[in-house]
Amino acid sequence: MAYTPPNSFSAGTALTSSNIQGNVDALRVYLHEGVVPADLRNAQFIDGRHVQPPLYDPIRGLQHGVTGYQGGQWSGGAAVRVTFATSALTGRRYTGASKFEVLPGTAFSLDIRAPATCLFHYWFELEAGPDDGARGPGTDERYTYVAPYVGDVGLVISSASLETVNNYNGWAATSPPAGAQNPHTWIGYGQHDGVHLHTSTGPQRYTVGLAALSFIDRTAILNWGVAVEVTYD
Amino acid sequence: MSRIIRPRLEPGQSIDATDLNTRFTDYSQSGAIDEANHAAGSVDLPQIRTENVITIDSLRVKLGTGVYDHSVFETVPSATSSPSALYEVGGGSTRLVFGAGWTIGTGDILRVYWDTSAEPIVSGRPYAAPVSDAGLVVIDDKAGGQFDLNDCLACWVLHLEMDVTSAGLTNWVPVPGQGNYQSGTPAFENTSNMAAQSIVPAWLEYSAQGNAVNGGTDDRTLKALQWGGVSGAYWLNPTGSTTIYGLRIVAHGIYHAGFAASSNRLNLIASVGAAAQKLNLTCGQLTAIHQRIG
Repeated sequence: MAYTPPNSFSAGTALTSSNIQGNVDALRVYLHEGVVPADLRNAQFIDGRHVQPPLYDPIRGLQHGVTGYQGGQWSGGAAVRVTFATSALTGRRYTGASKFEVLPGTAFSLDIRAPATCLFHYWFELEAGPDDGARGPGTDERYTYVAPYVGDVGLVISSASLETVNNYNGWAATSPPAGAQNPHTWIGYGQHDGVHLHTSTGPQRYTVGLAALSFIDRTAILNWGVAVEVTYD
Repeated sequence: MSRIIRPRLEPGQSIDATDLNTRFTDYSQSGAIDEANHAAGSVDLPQIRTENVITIDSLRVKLGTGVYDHSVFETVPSATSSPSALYEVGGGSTRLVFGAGWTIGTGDILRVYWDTSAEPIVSGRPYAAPVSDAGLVVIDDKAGGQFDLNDCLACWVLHLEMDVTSAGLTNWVPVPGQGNYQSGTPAFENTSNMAAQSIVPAWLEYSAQGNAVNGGTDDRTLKALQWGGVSGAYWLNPTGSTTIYGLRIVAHGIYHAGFAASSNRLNLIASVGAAAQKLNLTCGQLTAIHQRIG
């Protein structure tokens, strides 16, 4: 409530230190903790410049404000922007190694400033193979796995992998130029999406993205998109 | 109080009771605090109290075996009678458990996401003629006869269930907007009641290039679908307060697309059910997040 001096003074009455001090003490309490909404002017007087504005990063499509981050990036909209996953990098096909590699462009690095809940959304559309080469597992046992990672590609959440089998129909037998024997819409096509939840206990440089492990010599990732929702707890 | 502009009392000046009272009541102007007192500072994270402004609760579990490379998997049997049993993915160990419960109030939203990997297994052509409820398509065999080619609209279903009764988690029901395929002859669910489910194709066959001529064919190619990722999502914005104690994913099948009177639906096709028809599952994740939206 608004400040009301506990003591008022009248002419001809003795002025005491305790009454003066009482008013001062009451005023101190009011100024420190007694202001209530009714004491504020009932009109808008705070301008936008008085509230910390959010940060907007147009390159990564991110904005940051007092409630967290949000935004995302994708393969380029209506136009196809192909990227690849390949066994030539992940080594699985030829050596039996099990090594995930980052999918370029699908990661975010964020400066998280408080304990937060982080949701990482991802989707991708891919055509796997055909790969009918001689080495490696059977042509119908070759897969491309895509999984999220947090912090470093060594910290892939492999249990969250989304996989697509090779177009094991192989290549058309006719002379080049020849494509797949049968279309990817029959086998070897993946349109997948997922969400990974992670929590941050305090301020940190936070990286999240997608990685791939491929048994297949070439997998075209035709379209993709990633987005983050980070809400401060 | 706005900005109080009153000269200080200088030595030698007198003050009376009115002046003294005024120096205190200067602070008593209701509705007077304005930009002169309040607007110079800005509000940012240091001033935001930790009170879960947007996200109230969140939880994630590995769904299923936890092993992605097919070396360990679980198997969902196909139904041989109607309705299908509901197989809990992960066998009860990979459900979301909310303890005393999450109370989703008016103005809140519950968002749920799941994904896993599935491998539908079918042996031979259990859907071949004379089975007629599993997508039989009879076409010309290019020699005046008939040839059986399936429409491949059969599928397995994974759907989301919740327990709103107790933390004991023994009273599972489908989430609002989703049915559990337990009624009807054969058991079915309308497409208008499938808000929280994923489907996995059950089999694949086609007439390859060279076999199909002028709308007829005399040969078919069966292809094992192998493993593939599958995912789903659901949100709940209740009109009243709802306390949820847990969430789980159940799998069942095999169904086929159908139509009856005024609805599209998925009908159970127990006629193809057998030990040889099954759905293998490895792993994925089940995530729920409870947020304020108003």
